Amino acid sequence: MMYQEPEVDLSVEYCGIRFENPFVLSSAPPSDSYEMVKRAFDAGWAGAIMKTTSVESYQVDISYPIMTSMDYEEKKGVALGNIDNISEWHMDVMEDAVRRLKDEFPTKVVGLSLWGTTNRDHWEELTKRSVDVGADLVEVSMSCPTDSPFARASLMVGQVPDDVKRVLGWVKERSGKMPVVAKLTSQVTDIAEIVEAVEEAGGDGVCASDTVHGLLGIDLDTFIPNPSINGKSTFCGVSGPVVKPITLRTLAMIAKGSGIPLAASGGATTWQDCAEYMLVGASTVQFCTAVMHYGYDIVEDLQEGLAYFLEHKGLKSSKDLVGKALPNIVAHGDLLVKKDVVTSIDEAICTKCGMCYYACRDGGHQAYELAEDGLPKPDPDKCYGCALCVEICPVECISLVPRR
Amino acid sequence: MSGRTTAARLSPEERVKGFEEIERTLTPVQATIEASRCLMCEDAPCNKGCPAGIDIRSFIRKIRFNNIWGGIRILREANIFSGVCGRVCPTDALCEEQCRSQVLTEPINIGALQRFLTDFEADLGARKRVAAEKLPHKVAIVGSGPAGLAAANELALLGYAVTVFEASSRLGGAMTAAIPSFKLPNSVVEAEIDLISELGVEFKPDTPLNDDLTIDDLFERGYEAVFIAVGLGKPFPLEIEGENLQGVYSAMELLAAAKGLHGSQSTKVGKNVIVIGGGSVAVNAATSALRLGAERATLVCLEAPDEMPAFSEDVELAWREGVEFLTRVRPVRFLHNGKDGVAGVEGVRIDWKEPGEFVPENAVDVEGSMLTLPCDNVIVAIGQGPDDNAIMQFQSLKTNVRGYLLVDEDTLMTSRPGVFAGGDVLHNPISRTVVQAVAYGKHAAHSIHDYLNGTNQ
Ligand SMILES: Cc1cc2nc3c(=O)[nH]c(=O)nc-3n(C[C@H](O)[C@H](O)[C@H](O)COP(=O)(O)OP(=O)(O)OC[C@H]3O[C@@H](n4cnc5c(N)ncnc54)[C@H](O)[C@@H]3O)c2cc1C
Ligand SMILES: Cc1cc2nc3c(=O)[nH]c(=O)nc-3n(C[C@H](O)[C@H](O)[C@H](O)COP(=O)(O)O)c2cc1C
Ligand code: SF4
Ligand code: SF4
Ligand code: SF4
Repeated sequence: MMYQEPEVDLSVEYCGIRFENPFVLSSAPPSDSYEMVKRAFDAGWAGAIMKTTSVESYQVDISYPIMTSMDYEEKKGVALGNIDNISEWHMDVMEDAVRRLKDEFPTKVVGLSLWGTTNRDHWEELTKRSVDVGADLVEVSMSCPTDSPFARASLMVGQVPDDVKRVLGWVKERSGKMPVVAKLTSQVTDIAEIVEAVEEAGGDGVCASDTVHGLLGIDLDTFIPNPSINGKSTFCGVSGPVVKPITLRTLAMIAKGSGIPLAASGGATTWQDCAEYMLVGASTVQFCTAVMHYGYDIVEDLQEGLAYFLEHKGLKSSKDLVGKALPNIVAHGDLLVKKDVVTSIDEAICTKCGMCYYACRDGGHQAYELAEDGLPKPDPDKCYGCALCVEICPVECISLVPRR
Repeated sequence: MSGRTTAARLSPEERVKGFEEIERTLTPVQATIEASRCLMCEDAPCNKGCPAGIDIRSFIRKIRFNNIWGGIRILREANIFSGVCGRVCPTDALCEEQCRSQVLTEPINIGALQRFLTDFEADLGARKRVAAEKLPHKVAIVGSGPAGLAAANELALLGYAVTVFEASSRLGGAMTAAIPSFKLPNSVVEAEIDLISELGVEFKPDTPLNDDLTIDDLFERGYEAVFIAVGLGKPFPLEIEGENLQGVYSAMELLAAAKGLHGSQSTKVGKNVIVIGGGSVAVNAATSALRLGAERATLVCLEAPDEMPAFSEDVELAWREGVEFLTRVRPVRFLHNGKDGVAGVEGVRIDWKEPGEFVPENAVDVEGSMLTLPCDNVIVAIGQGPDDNAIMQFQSLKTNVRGYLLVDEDTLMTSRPGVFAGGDVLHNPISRTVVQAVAYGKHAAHSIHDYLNGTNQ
């Protein structure tokens, strides 16, 4: 390294465990084997939750293809959809992976993600074996959209507080000192109620959140949603950049109401995403889709990018970010009612495309006139300062300035 | 998939008014758009096209994922003249040639993305670089062009005490003495030289190697290795009648005047200028002449437009600015104005004896095709060779008949142990570009490192 590195500490703490940096592989295809996680650790990931596993007697059915995606205009993969199931590898294979990884990478964090269906014996056995093999923590997978055996077929464990308590209780009974984390879904009416259930059951942390249940698109020739399995499809788990706003909100809601250790999952691609997740309370940030899209190598940019950012902000440690945006989030009713900004256009940059004009005419307050030469002229008396045009301008030449 | 994103440019009318840089830097939005077009190809064919060995795939990914300082690090580790190269590399023949984005639309604008990063760095102030622990060895570099300076940078990072001896009053070689400022402002070169100077490299301008300072002297003064990177200082003459008339200049004289070098004020440009030659130097001379006051600049060369060796981008720029091209013509003599000034060029149309061989020896005159072109100045730009003085200086070293230094291909060592050479002064450079010179400089630095470690043991 020929440059002086930023003098910052990227390490974080989650559930009492030290992570070298906040970047962790979520329980998903990128963490489905020893060999894969080994490569990820070599690349710089601080930890991995192995893909969700089950006891050897449990049969895992997967209907391929499992992946679909949504593009927006020319941008590929804004959303990824999967109808995957838990890992096809059972606990014996995952135990072996944990053993070898902990042996070769003692400073990295290796967690297991468990799925024991409705069967208390399965949960207890999986938990006991996790403790025995030396897993740093376990995640209880309670929001996998594809397996929902409890109250109603369309519900996930993570949507019913009593089910959350019941399953976590089984796991906590056998977990000893090993931290137990509940992996939640954002698709609940009141996330606080779910987190309360986790706390009551003695859960040590939460991961928010798993994929968002959705339908990514329908083939207009065949009327079959994607992906098609012999002419049929089903709802899928949506992940990737598109779910970032949901993850941010879920994290903030949890962190504002509870001090439970938080891991973020859902929609992280860049170090900025991570910084934002940490600002609303996450200690670690988990990645799946970004790795599936761009490979393990992105962790180099996550580490380097975050380090330079911390230095730029004069912060010494990434821990200093955690929760710092929370005081700035208030209920809508608590915002100051005001209308004291108007738009201002940098005419030297403006391309005269007129997008601001249309947006304001049909979605705003008809504040724009177009001059003869095409230059947009906002009328400050008509402009509410709603910021629609600011967000839409393709060359980012509109800003809000104080109303005179 | 969208097409290639290019930076804003001055219009041809605006730019011929002076030497202001033609191309602007990409905006952050443009850079992100362009970076996200990159396919991040596993085998990165782009990387194989960069002589300096920049990991292009990686620096583009760093722009895409907003790791801007990381991108700068990748560039600087491989090429200290990344800001220069982002501007002057003939990318269509180098890194972009095999870019796989062409399958979809057009190659990634690698040069512009590279420049985006270095401009960002220049705006914010470069981060401090740390050299390895000091080594007890002194190395002398002769010539401060990109080859010499890249070697100095690399050796300083390795911990050597480096001194650069430069004949001219100004550091930078062709980068500050010839490449026109509208392509490459001096400030860009100076900023990158500052990065090298911060490592503690000592510069000695106005200090040519000559009879008073020989290679022997350098060894006597305790330098243990010498790197010779003196470039090509001698313009080739046409050797035709009238070449000594007033108003006939070499391209290097004209370009030095355009770069504002001391002692070049005597170069005066009239209204109608003829430039002889078909390479980039000739094209740059023609566009520079327009900026120095010429109303008309005509390029006369042996090659047809598609045979000219000039970088395609230079030709395109010149054409837009109104340079005229008179091709497949051989100048026969320069005409005088009744006194000792030049007044025109007499030429003859040519054909090639053998197809595909664009050298003077292969040209035949087309009978009865003599033409006369009136003009106020003639600029001769038919190439440069090693400086005679330099050859005398390095007489103890083996050269070929034309004065190019001969080196061992693996080590770049000349016939004299401890003396290395690289850049344009070599007998057979792969290509004469800044980035190739940088590659030679890095190569030489590592050979010198091996050599000095070897003698240590
Ligand atoms: C007009 C012009 C336009 C060009 N445009 C481009 C372009 O667009 N893109 C591109 O990639 N390349 C371009 N090139 C080519 C590029 O500039 C050269 O290939 C490159 O500079 C060669 O580097 P160098 O270090 O070998 O030599 P130089 O850059 O020539 O440097 C040699 C240095 O050695 C010094 N020196 C000579 N003799 C002595 C001595 N006896 N003692 C001490 N010092 C001495 C000289 O003063 C000079 O500073 C252009 C060249 C010219 C002339
Ligand atoms: C193909 C696929 C398989 C997944 N399998 C699991 C799983 O077995 N267990 C689990 O807890 N989460 C699983 N997930 C969810 C991810 O771990 C992650 O929580 C989710 O994708 C959101 O994060 P992202 O936007 O970074 O992808 C899976 C996701 C994908 C795309
Ligand atoms: S959207 Fe932006 S670029 Fe387009 S006319 Fe409006 S201000 Fe100009
Ligand atoms: S230095 Fe030149 S050849 Fe290398 S990547 Fe940059 S622009 Fe391309
Ligand atoms: S070849 Fe082109 S598309 Fe592929 S990695 Fe290089 S720059 Fe990107």
